[in-house]
Amino acid sequence: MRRAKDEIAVVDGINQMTALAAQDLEFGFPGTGKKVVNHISLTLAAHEMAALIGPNGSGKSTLVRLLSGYLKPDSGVVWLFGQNIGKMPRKAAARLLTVMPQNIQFETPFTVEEIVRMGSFARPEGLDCHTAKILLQRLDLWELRNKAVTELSGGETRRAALAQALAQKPSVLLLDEPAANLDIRYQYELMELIAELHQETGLTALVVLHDLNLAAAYASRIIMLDEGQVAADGKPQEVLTPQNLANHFGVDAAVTVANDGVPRIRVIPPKHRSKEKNGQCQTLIDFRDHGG
Amino acid sequence: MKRLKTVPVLVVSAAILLAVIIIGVGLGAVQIPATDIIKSIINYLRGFRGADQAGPWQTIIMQIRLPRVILAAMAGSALATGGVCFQAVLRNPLADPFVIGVSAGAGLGAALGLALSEWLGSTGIALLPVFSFLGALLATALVYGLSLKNRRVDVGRLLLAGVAVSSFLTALMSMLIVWRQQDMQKLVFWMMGSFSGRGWEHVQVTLPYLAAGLISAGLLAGRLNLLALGEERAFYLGLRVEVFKAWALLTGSLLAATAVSVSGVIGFVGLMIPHIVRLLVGPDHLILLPASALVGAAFLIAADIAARIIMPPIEIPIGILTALSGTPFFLWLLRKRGQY
Repeated sequence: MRRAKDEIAVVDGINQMTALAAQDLEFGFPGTGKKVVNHISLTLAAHEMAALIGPNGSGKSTLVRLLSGYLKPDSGVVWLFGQNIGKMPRKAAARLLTVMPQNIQFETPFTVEEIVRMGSFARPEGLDCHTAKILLQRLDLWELRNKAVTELSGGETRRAALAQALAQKPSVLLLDEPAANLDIRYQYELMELIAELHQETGLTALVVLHDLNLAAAYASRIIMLDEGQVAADGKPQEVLTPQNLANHFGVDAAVTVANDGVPRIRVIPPKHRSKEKNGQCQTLIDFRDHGG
Repeated sequence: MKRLKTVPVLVVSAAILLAVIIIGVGLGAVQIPATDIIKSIINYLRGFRGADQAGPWQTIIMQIRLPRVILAAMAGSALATGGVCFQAVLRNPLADPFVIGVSAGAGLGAALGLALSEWLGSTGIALLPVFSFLGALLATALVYGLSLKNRRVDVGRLLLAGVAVSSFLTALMSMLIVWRQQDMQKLVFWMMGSFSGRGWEHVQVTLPYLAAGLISAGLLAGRLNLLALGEERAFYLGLRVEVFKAWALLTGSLLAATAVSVSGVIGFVGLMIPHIVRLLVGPDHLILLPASALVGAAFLIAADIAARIIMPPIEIPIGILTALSGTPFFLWLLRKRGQY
């Protein structure tokens, strides 16, 4: 790999198989005094697909923005293939890493094709017609290429945004809740597409997900955040344990691991708890009040 | 709405501009036929001077009407492209230099320049665009700063900040007018926007600023597309957002100031023209900017013709006409906001 030779300096034991490394990141929004991200260190190996989960307000989106360089950490460094992302020229960083942000709502009626072409802004070679066509076809957008992005459905909008990100030809792609607010079918279709693209291109992907079953089904590694810190990090079956779900999400859940090794989570709704776990009801409610 | 093709739109708008220029030169107290106008201009360019060599209309055409028409074209293109710059950065189709108070800032700056011209002497008129630019920058910085909410420009705040800053700066300008009684008529007319009594020297002074503004906007065009997607998206796509946002705001201020320094405060052109052009050609700034420049130029010449011929021999200040047509348009746009 040319990139490995030219651009990677070995830093602090971070070897060249590391795509992205966060080193002791700290961040708090000015004036709040509270740290949203509190001493987070993690590394993403090249070609890895990991899911980032955690309850609301645990710092997932903020961590994504820190990893992408959009937010500057109060302390700590983000290394992108061995380079400090905060000091990289913007275009050079955008050729290696990009983000599909949360809640994409296009407000300007560019066509799908225009949106995708904009993706190659950081690439001096641009996007040739052949590649553009392949990309549009791959994401099932070819028929929609002349349609205004403001007129797309929710699922189509996500695919257009994903196509734009892929037109950047990034090595690392961070996706912030790509499947949020979609019908369940489109959630799985989109995740399937992302997983396939990860397989085909060797993308390093970090996907923020709310749906833990989606995370378990598609990621080989799950990073769980809580209160701005990494609460658990490992294989899905190691992270998605009833204990972790109780401690960090405040839910009572049953986890079954299927033959394929993918854990499946069934949350027991609070009103059923008294029936299923008679006697523990009071402690559970107590816990939820303090830990939720 | 189906988009129109790029090249035909540019050709048609250029043809309309040319036609309006000829009509603008032809209409007035004396009507001049189009053929005579074209002949006269060609003769002038070939070096023929005087009535016997170049036809009876040459003085009227070359010294009075043509510079005025060209100035209107320059101001129209500056206002329209300036509007496009502001709209891209502020991500709002209502961001017209007049609405957000930038024109008022430019107006105050230029009025100050006019009032000081007796000390500045002959350099006064040459410095007018500079004063105007400084005033526009001041207003841009104020309004932009006031309309930020969570690092985003908030529409409501933008309009309110525009009203506040605009009223304040206009009040300062009125104070200047009261203070400089001897310049009152000149300043009042200029506050309402007018092209009367403008000549080649104004064209000459303004041209470099207009050229700089248009070239700068042209260089920005591709990046304005990215900015129109929002700052965070633009950042991820590889844009140094802070740099280009500042550059686009500077360019918009320069263009607005250029227009104001030559014509006074003319509102709503930067709102109406980009919006209409956007409906026709779509939001891509590589075509939106040149088309807006051409249509804006044609529109302001047409408005100036109307200003001259509606109530002869009185000339209506052109700013009154653009406000009369622009305000309903603004309100319509405000109502249907969300379908940008």
